[in-house]
Amino acid sequence: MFSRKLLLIGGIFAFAVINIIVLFVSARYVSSSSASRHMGIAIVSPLQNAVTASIHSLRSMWMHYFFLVSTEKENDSLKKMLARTIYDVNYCKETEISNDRFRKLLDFKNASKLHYLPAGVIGKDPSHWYKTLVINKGVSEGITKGLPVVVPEGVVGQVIDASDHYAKVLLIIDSNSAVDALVQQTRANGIIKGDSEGRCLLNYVSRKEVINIGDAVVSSGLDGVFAKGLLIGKVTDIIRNKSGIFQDIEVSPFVDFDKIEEVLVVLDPSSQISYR
Amino acid sequence: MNPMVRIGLILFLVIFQTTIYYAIPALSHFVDLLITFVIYAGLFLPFLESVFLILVLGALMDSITGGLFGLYLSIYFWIIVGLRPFVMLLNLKNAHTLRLLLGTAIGFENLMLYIGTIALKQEIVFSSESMREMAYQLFWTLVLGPFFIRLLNAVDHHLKVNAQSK
Repeated sequence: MFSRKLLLIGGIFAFAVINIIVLFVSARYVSSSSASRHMGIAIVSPLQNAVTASIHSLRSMWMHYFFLVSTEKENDSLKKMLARTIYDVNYCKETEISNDRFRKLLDFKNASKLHYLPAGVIGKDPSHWYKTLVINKGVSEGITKGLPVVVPEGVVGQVIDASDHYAKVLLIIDSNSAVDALVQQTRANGIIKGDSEGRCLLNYVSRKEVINIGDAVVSSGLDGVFAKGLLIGKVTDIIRNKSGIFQDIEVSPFVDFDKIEEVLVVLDPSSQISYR
Repeated sequence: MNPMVRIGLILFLVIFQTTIYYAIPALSHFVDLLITFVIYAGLFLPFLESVFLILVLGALMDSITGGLFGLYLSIYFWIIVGLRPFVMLLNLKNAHTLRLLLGTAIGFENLMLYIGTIALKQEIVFSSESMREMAYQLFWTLVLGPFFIRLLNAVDHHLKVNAQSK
């Protein structure tokens, strides 16, 4: 009844449709930490780790022994920065002491110290449509899915998959990421989401809130993942539409995601700064 | 090239594209070596061998990407299947033919990755940064991809001749 060619074309078409349906269904219902994924990570990541370590050694050798032209200038600049930092550290110590005293007076619970695990970045997502990193620490070192990842400059992202010795981190600039955040100066609350352009958007901030360009945005601690007060970025643009109850706020992250080499994984996010 | 050498080559390309490209910022917009390898496998290797290699490559890529599991497998598989009817018809020594195939494959890959982001996010997103990255990737792949394919083919031929002469 049907020619062989027609059956072949029909079969290929049906297979393509099934393929697309399976992909959409797996997006909704299949866990990202499947055994097949872990097997692939277990094969690729040790090699990524070795290559990254070699590149870092070569870079370190170059920077320490050959690339000394600007060292003197950099040294002067660092001395000035150190002097300024010593002043800032002293100021922070004084503030911390006052803060402790006030906490005791108000009977607040003490802020618990976070436990960090340093990890090296060994690979990046091969596609520019997704923003993830691979780090060289995994379940064996205490990393589990959902743990927050930070650097001294601010929030990096969240662990979305962990195998024995390696883990995958979803960056806050990925469009699937969301972090509950506050504008530091005004305490306006919103949700930081990646906008696929290497920046973030602070969504759901009421139009009534007065936000200024340059204001710092920090984590609010309300999402139960990121500790309160971690730096995220600064406001670079504000769009107040004529209609609607929210304003659109563009945030430029403090972290340079193209240059991260090491990160800190917060091992016990439950013991974050808490108030009674 | 024996299959183990080819799998080694696949691993090397994956490491190169995910680690060395990341460590050396100047390479971040460079040629997409993986799609170039897929085109090479589809055009110059026996169908079943190319399907096997592409399944290995797709599974590795799916493991390390943040997208849907099976997305790269699907992309590479459909590129290989799509190339089949053209293998006998096209002049594969012509660089422009290879460029046309590479360009189409990159377009298809990015379209599928875009559909993958929609499936994950459940909403339509547009990323001008991704479009810009795709344009760089397309440019470099069109310029250097045919040379890379010819290089792989020449190495393969050389190894085959050596193996036969022993």
